[in-house]
Amino acid sequence: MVQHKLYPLTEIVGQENMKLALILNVINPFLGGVLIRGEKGTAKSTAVRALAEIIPSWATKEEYSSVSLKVIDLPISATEDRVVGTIDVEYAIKTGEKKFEPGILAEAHNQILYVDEVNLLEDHIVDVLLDAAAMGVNMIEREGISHSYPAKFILVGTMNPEEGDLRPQLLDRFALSIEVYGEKELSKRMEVIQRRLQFEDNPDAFIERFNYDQQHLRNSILSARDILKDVVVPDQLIEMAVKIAIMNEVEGHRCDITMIKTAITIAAFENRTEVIVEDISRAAALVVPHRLKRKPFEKRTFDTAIIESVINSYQVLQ
Amino acid sequence: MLEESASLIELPLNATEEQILGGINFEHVLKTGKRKFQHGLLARAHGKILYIDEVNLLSNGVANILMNVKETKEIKIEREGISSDYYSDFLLIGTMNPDEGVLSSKFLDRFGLYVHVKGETDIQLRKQIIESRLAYERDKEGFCKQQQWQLADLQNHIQLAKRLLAKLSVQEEIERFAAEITLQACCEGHRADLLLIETAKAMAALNQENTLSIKHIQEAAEFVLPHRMRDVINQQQKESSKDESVQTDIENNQTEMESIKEPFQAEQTNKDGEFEQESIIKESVEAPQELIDLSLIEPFVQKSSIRKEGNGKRTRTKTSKKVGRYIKSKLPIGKPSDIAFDATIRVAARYQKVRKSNGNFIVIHSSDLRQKVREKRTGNLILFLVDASGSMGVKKRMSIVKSAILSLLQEAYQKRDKVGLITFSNDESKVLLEPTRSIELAIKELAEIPTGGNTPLALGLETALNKIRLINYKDPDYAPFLVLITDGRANSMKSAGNQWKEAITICDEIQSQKIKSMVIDTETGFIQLGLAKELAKEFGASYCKMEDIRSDSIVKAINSS
Repeated sequence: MVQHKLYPLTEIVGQENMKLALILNVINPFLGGVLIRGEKGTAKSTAVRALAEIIPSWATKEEYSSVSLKVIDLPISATEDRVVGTIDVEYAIKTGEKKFEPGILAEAHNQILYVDEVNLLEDHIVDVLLDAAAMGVNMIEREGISHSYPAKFILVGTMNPEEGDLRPQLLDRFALSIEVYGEKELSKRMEVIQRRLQFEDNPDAFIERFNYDQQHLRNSILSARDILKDVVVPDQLIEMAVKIAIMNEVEGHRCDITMIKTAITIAAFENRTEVIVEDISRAAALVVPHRLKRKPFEKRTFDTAIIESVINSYQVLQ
Repeated sequence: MLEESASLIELPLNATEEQILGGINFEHVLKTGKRKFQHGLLARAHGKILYIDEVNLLSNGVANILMNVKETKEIKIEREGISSDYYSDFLLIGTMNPDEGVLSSKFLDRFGLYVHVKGETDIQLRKQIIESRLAYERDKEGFCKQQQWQLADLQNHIQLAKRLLAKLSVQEEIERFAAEITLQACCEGHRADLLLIETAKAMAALNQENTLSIKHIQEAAEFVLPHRMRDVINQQQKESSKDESVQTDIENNQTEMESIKEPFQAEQTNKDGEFEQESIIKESVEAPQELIDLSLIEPFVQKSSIRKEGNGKRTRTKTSKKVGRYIKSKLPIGKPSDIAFDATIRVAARYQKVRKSNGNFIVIHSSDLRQKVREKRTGNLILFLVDASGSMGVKKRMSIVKSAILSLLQEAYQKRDKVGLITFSNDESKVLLEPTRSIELAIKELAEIPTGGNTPLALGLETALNKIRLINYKDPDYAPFLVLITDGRANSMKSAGNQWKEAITICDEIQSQKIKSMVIDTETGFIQLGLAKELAKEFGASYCKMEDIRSDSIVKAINSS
């Protein structure tokens, strides 16, 4: 197979939120994935693959260098057999014995599961995806086989909201969500074109040129992983997260828990061991928007004023 | 492979019917030549907890099997040359998100108790939840160790309660009270009464009380009744709609809806008894509470969360294409296209002793071939065809249509519906909104709706018919539903022929294609020609007047059909 050259993550112009959300997920694989909503051709797929390349899989934490994180694709045309796994027919016919062939979900264990156009997935595939994402386990009860495999993965989905919505249950499974747009500024757009052309002209030289930045990013991700468990959250900041969740009328508790986990991860990425107010507000912007309840005839909008007011009320107190 | 818990069996959504019931063990047959039955998931669940996450997403076939087995506790298998008969008695626990669709009332009834869970609203509690979760994720083993004593306490407590339970006796007075409550709630059958008493007993035992009191029954009713009392609301609501002294907005809509619905009702019951029941649940939701005298059960009405949207419409179709969930296998008719290898091998296994080897371990003959049966959830294709000519009230009409479309799309992900809009005016018919499931697209596309000009009714009908044909060609699983909003008066500059006659011809065509439809008449004023009503007759469509209707009742009418 031809090794595909990947565009370096650090050289993607703009899309800071997307890069941050993805990086947070590889620092803390238990965060719960990211949903990228927006236009085509905004480096969504490039970013995911480029990130995976520089980061070792956390399953192999001890020997950092060797195995890098894999991106397992779940194509929207995938059949259920391929997703959950199936009996190996050839083997059965040749030998008369049952052998199970694990599916995409099992393959994605400890890796990134990337679903392009996740809103177009067939319903029954979404169902099995939900099953696995909930427990981190892929259970199979079919074709004479009862099996369960570990399937903990970073779920990364992309979608164009104009092609249909995501089911609420699946939406909530994504820890973070971000919206991406094409750059509106002329100079930025020019830069995007120029860099891409340079890359295509001579990928090796381009990658080499930015090798230092890539290494730097890699190192800060790895050291963030190391200090993640030491990050503490001041009591009143947990309360702040709770208030933000309550004021936005989100359902359930996943929102607050994820908000704190995200804030912790942001702190670790910035090499701090204590969460600060700013981490909470950055986390809220990633965690809250897709969990807002829909009101009739309104486009869902995320009101930063609510978050600011909660935060301000705390700062007055202190 | 992960270990299976000693007391809990999970039923994943990918489970096939054969897998749940059991079948022949082909490895064993091939090795020994003897048939051996391999037990299914239900056999493993015997005496344990059977847990189903997202229980509302189960396929119909699997749900039916569960319902039967839960009732009879017995499984009889006659397949692949094997007869087997075994018992399975399990404790059924299901969890679901009602946003994804509701359970049929029949299935609901199989669950003894019902709880509606919500997020905590207390800040301190929420904080605690976050902290516990973080502590757990940081150090699972340590966290569990910390809880060891509490868990042991709980275990003891349950053991004690179990012993107490056996000694509890039920007074006649308690039985009468339970029966009174269930009578008032109009629960079907006697399951609720018995469950009420059993639950009350368990509650008393858990509280370590030696006698059963009315209080326990009341507490038990909170769990036993909410999902069973659908009929009460429905029945009383019918009575109350006759009662003129109580008239609320909601009630008005309700009766409106009843009348719009009637033509569909017969068909509904024919198709599937369950559907009708589901739509009853839906109605119960909107029932105004003050109209109902439910002195005993009132507290539970509010707690019931079967409220929201009944899901009468979403249908599950067996699909012929190679898409959808594999639910079971069958003998193929003609040449098999989607082979169920597991079933095929199981069939072939039986004959291996007498077949000549061809080099493979298993020799498969074409008579062994089995085909997959797949199931797919589909929704409706709801197409609005609206008169956008310069007649009176066009602006208002359009805004009602717009909000109806947006409301329908709010639920589109749940019902798997697509909604589209075609208008006709000014010698043109335009597809303003391609049938879609996206609310964002609808908001964008419907920002401006051009109106004015004459009324090319026939052209509009033709465009709608063509659109429906095209979409059904691409995806035959969508059931089309046409909502025509017009006063029936047609005129056009381009067409030389008689617009009305042309319109009628297309109506017949639409009817012959068995497209369900509904006509909303916008005719107002003193002199009324009643053309839209005639049109509705041609269609075999249901009919109502625009002035009697608001956007939400359009949605209701569509939902109930």
